[in-house]
Amino acid sequence: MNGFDMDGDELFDRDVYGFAVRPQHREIYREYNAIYKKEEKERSARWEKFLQSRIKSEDEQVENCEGFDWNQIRPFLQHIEGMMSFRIKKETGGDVISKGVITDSVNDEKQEEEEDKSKEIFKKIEVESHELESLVHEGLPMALRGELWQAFVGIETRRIKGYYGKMLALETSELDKEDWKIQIEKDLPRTFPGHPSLDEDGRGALRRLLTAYALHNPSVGYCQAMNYFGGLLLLLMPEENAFWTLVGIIDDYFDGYYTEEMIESQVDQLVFKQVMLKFFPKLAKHLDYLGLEASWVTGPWFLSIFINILPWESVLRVWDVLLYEGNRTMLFRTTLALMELYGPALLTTKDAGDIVTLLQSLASSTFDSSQLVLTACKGYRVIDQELKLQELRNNYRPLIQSTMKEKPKNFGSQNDLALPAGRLFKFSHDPVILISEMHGKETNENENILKEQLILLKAQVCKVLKDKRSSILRAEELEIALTELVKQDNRGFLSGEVKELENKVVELKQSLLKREQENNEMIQVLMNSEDQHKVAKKVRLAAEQDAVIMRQKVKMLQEKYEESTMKIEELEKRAIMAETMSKATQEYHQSRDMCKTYCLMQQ
Amino acid sequence: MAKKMDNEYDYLFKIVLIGDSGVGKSNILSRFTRNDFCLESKSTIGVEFATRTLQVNDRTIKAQIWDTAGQERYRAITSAYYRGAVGALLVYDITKKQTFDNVQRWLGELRGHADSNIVIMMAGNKCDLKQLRAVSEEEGQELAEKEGLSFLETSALEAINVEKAFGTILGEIYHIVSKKALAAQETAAAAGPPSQGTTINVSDSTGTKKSCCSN
Repeated sequence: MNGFDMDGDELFDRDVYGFAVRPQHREIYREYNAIYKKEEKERSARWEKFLQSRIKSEDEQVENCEGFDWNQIRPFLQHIEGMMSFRIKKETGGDVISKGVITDSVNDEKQEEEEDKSKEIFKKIEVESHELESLVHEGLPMALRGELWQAFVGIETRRIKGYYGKMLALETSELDKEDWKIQIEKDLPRTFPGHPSLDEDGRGALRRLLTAYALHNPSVGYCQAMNYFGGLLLLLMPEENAFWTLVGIIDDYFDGYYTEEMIESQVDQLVFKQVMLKFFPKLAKHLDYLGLEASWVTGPWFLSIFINILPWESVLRVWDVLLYEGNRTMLFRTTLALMELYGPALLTTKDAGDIVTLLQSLASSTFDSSQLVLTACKGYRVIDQELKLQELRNNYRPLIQSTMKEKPKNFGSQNDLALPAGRLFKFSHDPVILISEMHGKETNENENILKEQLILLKAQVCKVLKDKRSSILRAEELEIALTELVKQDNRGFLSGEVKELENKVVELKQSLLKREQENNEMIQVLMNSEDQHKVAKKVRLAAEQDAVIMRQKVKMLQEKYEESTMKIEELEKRAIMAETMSKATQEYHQSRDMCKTYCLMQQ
Repeated sequence: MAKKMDNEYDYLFKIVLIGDSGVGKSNILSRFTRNDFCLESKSTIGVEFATRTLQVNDRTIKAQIWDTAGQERYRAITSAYYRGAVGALLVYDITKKQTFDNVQRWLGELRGHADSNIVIMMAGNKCDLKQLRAVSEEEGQELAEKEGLSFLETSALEAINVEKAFGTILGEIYHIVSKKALAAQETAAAAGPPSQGTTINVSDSTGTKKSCCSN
């Protein structure tokens, strides 16, 4: 039954234990699965080493065993069980089976003898218990978990031979009309639906287990949440052993938790509220401000021992410690660890809905089970001794009991202040009055007086609640004022330094002034030069304009010059022509003269 | 009003889901908030929670829904959740007469522990299972009229009337709250002595977000 296939299917829609993994968590589960495997390997090796050494020292016969066989550690498991059963007797005074039908099967002599024996064993193991404790904190190996749980709960001491069978034999068809039986039938298919081990046979076993328990302890009967516990135990151990483990958990560790009135569950929530106030005052105040009772969220966490709240690896790790310790302190520690891990994120929320949604989703994705258990066990190791949880429980119990008694009378009067939370507030402010009033109620038979008292009380509570609101506001104001004061205080301490700094500042200011003056001068110089520059620019511009004009004139002159040169050339040409013409005329004249002369001569 | 952008909603209303074990409260919740129906449902231990923001009468309303465990003994614990609730959806299973007979006891619980002005809607769930019907719609209607409740038959499986049931509750609450706000304004304007003893429980008890600063 115990031991799961580590290499399971790789789709990751179910974890190695066969429980469904939510679609949004499959990716992160895939990552953590590798870590889990590694951790499992390491812790198996540690346990092997631990148990081997125990066996060798206890029993010399065990030799040369190659490869560890868990069967060989059974003798030591018995010793662990012996240690645990010693605790059972110490706590319940040997009254383990008084709730059962069979009470005369254990004779006193035998019991004493056993007690001596377990005392002896306890002494032996006490030395080792520290080592054992740290091993438990690191988690149990899967292959051993079922057996170690049985040993922790001490089922061999609780077991009465044949008892389970007798309980089952009491079942008749008439029981089918009983409310608890109807409820069991409703819840069977709603317990880890789809889990491969909870087939028809598995559900049959769970039905028998829950029925037998209900018949064994009628003051509890069947309470929702036990279906989950039974289902889990059946996955790890044989049916009858699961029965005795369940008996140990419900009758002993969670005595009064799952009964008709669920008193201890309510008491634990009031206690937790106080614990929360001590460790996380800011967060507690934030919750109060948003109108959210922490118990609205943590109540179901405690009741289900984190099943369906945390990822399975984390649930089992918490159960390891809880069953080992044999009390409910681990519920407080784990919840505080979750608050520590997620407190900063929770403080950013703006309404009750957001905070619950955030807390739910953060809790359900707490895959780092080692971190969780380490934070819980190391960070809040001593809360039990420190806060005296049992004393706190004893203080709050009468309050819940009286509330439960009052309940029927409360009918019709619409007032939420009769609720534990409202009363707690009054109680914590004025415990003496309330306790005396409660005692008065118990003895006084007169209902009318009671009713009047009730109305008065409610009015008082109303008043106190109002006062509370205003005092919260006042407290906030004071807090602000305080921070101011603290700041001023610091100023006194720092005044010397401040003065020095001030001096420096003055010096710096002076040098700054000098610089500024220099700067100004520079600026003026610059401005002057700029002016000069401007003037020069103007002059240059004028000169440039003149130059342009001059150039134009030069051009014009050159043109005129060229023109006149051309004219001169023309005139020269004309002169040459005229010369030629005059020469020609001269020649003509000469020749005419010559002709004349010739003619004359001829004549 | 100026804070509307910050808060992203105008009103925050707390609703409780109550009724016998196995009538389908958790599936009504998942149908309304995630539009999801899980055939392999698991039993609720103590209480479960979800929110949804929706528009009613042009206002953005955030519904904060607490789904409680149905087993009788859990009432000791779940009645604490009624504090501050302004609406309740009381569910029975139309195929199980017993769950209908217990409606009276649940009403007693509400009257004992919740605000007197709480808006109650009765829902006969699993109305898809017609052939298994053990409570007629008329019976449901009759009881609702007698007790002054709203009434609908619903099916979380087939998504029938789930939206409408919550819409009706939220609409009614909004109506009451806005009427009260109006009345308060008038009273303030008249500055006269308050003539009627109107309770302010609904708007007073963490119901509205408007009045308180979220930072």
